[in-house]
Amino acid sequence: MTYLSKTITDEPDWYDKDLSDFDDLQSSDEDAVVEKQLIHSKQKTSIIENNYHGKDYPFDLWYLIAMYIAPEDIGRFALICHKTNQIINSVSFWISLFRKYNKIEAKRLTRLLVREHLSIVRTYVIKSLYQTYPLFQERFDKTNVIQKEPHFLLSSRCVRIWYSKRPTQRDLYNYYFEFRFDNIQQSKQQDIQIQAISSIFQANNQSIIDKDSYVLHLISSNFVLIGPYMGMILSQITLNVSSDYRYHKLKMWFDSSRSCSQKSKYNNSVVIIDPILCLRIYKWYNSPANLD
Amino acid sequence: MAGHKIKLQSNDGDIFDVEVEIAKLSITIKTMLEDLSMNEEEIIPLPNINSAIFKKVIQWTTHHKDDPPLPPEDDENREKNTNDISSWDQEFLKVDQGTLFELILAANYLDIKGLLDVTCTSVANMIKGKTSEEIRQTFNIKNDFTPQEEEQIKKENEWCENK
Repeated sequence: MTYLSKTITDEPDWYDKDLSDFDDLQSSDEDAVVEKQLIHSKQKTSIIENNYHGKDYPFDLWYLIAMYIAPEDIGRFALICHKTNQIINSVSFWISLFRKYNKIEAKRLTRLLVREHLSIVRTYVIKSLYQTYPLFQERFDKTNVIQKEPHFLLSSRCVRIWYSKRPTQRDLYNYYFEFRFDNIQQSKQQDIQIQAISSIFQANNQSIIDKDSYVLHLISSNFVLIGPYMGMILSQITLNVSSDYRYHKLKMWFDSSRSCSQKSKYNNSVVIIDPILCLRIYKWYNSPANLD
Repeated sequence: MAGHKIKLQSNDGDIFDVEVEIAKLSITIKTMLEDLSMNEEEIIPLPNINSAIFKKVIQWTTHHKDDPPLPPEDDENREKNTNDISSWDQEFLKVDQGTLFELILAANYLDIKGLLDVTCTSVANMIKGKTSEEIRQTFNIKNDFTPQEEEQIKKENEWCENK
């Protein structure tokens, strides 16, 4: 008590003090914080964070690098980490790619595309890459009559069949068979629906193929009526020489289920297209704009 | 104007005297000097760049100070200009991944398009022909995907594979 009273009496009243006699507690605290921050910034001047498991690069960095990734490396880039995959799934990434590799169309369509859903922009740009990017064009050998062996389609389900007359002087017909494997988990059906109503696809007359489907395209000089085999399984397929020994002949057996493949050889669910002048198999990304 | 120097301060406090003409290869610094009427005596702080990286940036800009100006931001020209990396730049970019990535961020912050082009192209070239695991090893990145996620991403991107 005496000590306390002494200190109180020894200390001048606040109005007798000079300004410098006051301890500016707050400012000294702030100075300490600034000092701490300076020390901290000296120690950690790198934006890239190291942690126990490896480096954590900022999102911005991956975005900058993504602008320089070649189309054939996009899959690899997406698989690096969640951040890179997130960038690949952004509209701005696909628009940038579109501007880079399809300049003429980009000038015309970018304004429309930026307003579209990601799945539309992505699908449209990928399809356009297969029409303009040299490396992808080379993959698709248009000179070969049989572009790809069709036997891998065995056991897939035929989901759609359509045909048309080709706009050529010679009588030629297009046959299209869309196949899908049942065991493959189906892609988001919603994406297909969104694309189907998209003005971009409609205005540019773009065919839409399901992401899990294969389209077998045959060109023949003969017109053959094809039965309603939609929903049936392709149980057998043979590709032989045509009757005139100049081209190919394709024979496909269809069954209602996989278990009765033997029986199918004797029923009427057979399609024979002879001669085949050209056989191509498309996926959604490398199909021509128009499949009519 | 040639020979005039300005002071630039990295985020770790080091001050660099840099020729104005070289510093102006950075659009960020050029804008600061021109639009904000900063005089040459003032120290310009660069809060996003440390001294080690800034030294590399000065080295690059000094070498490229007489290069013809790049065309304006246009993807049309970008492809042409970025496919090849000069032998000097290749030597310059022989650094560890951390430094290379910091150079990208510095080039972006300072808005030096030429440096951004070569650094990003260099990283993009490193990705070519590698599996995702090899890429992660190269950049020392942890795989943060589950096997299911990885499978899904592979499926989504099968369009760019050569099958």
